[in-house]
Amino acid sequence: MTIRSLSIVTSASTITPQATVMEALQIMIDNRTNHVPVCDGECYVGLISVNDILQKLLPIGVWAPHGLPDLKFAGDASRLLVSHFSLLREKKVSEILNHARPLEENCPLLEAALLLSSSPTPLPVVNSSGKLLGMLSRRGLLEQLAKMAEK
Amino acid sequence: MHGMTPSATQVIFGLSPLLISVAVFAITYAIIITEKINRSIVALLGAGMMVFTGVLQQSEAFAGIDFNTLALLTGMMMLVAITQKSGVFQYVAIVAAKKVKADPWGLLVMLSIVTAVFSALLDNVTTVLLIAPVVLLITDALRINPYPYLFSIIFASNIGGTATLIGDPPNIMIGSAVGLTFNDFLFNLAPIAAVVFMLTLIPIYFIWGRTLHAAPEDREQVMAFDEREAITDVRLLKQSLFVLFLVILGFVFAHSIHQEPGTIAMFGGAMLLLLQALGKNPEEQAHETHKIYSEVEWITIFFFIGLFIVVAGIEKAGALDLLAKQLIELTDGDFNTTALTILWVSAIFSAIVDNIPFVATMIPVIQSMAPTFGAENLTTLWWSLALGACLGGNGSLVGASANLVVAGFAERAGQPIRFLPFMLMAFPLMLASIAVASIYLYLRYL
Repeated sequence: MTIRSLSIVTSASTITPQATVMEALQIMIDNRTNHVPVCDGECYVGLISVNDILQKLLPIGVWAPHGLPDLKFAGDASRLLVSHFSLLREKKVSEILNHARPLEENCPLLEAALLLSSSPTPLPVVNSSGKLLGMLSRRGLLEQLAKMAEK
Repeated sequence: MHGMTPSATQVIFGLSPLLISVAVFAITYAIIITEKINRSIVALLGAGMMVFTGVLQQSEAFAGIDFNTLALLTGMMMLVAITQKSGVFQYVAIVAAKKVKADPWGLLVMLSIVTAVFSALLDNVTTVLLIAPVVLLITDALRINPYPYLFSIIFASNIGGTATLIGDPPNIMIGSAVGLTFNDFLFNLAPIAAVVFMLTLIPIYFIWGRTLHAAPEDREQVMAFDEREAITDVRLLKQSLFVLFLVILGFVFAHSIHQEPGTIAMFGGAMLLLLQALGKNPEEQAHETHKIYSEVEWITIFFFIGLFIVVAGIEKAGALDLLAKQLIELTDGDFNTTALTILWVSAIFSAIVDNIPFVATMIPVIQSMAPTFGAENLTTLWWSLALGACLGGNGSLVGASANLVVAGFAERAGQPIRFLPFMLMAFPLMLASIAVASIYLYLRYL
């Protein structure tokens, strides 16, 4: 059984790589989602999520090996966060998107379950030519399994 | 070793051991310089070739490895891996920043001093790995260009590392091979390191320092940092500082208690591991201990092992004796000229290539100069080599591993340190420091 045969893929608003980070964030706020797939035409190129944006707002030292294990000592530092945000929102989506590996539409259900279990966001589903078909969420997959179990 | 000397027939195809060993050495070093293949792999392959071609027997190869150097490096790496978890490095950096009221120039001086002192007592790479994230956070909060700060901590770490036996790998190797003590290094190299450090700040002030400016609100943000919150584990902090203190005390008195620094560092590492493990169940102990071992930089350790064997190969074949004779001929057997030549050549070499293989090769070369200059006079040449190799690391971005670590941070911070612009500034500054070191050597020893 593949994810395509189950019609559990939901459609999603997309954004172009040239759009600004603020435009991407606005889509997430309006649609009450935490991610937007990035497409060049119909072709999937990556994903931008609230997490990608949040990570870029933090000081770089946090991500380094032996870096800063916590930031309690820096107080609320809202000036720093706001100043980072002002810079970040003008940047292009292409600069911070993540290249989450998409699921192929003929991906078997078990493989899809494995990949989703280790992904922080729903995963994009593409056809063999790379066209985005929609998104598959963990909840969507579990919902399908629940239905199947009832039969 | 079984006291066997290889006859020509023991070497592959009956070729001359000198020829084969020099070829293996040259190919190994050439591949290391290209940086296309991880240096530890190349060094180990080179070491294997020295044995397979019959230049060395396995026992001779193993005898060539300086286990004191390896033990000192590994022990210190373990100590730092545990200590850094306590947040003490962040604590010190924040206190330093607040002491100067987050004034940009004062901050640069303070963070450079902190880096230099830590680099003198710990490994340079670890020091900059711990300091650079805090530096970036503070410059970020002050909304000032981090470049001058990163440039200064590169210089501070290499200069600070020059000051002690344990500060920089060349010193560890020299001290271990020749039996120079922690105190020997401290008394002979720390004074000049301090002078070079202060002099280096002068051009940095004129290039960047006087134009650095931060808005009062941004400075307040840094003043609001609470250093006490940086300490994540008070018990660990006390244990780590206690053991580190004992280890450094051990280095100071190593000579009088007839112990080598390698034993002291390893024992300290094991002691801190024990303190950490106390009161935990076997599973937790295994997990924690494994984590600390995995933080040891094994690439560096295996690189050293391979290099020691490769150098043992050319040493046994007599190549280094020849090189030493050539060097003495070149300087007409004049001691002063030899000392200064070693200093300058080491500096320029170390700026361009890794100083560890260079020093590994130079140690036996200098040792074989003993018949010419007298063993008791060699000490001056060791200081030439140490000063050249350590300070030379400032000459370019690839001169020392710590430089590359800082460059990595800068890249992520969106302020990349480019090879040529860095060198245009750093190389003349490095040459100036070597000029100062020449004067020091001349006045004190020659």
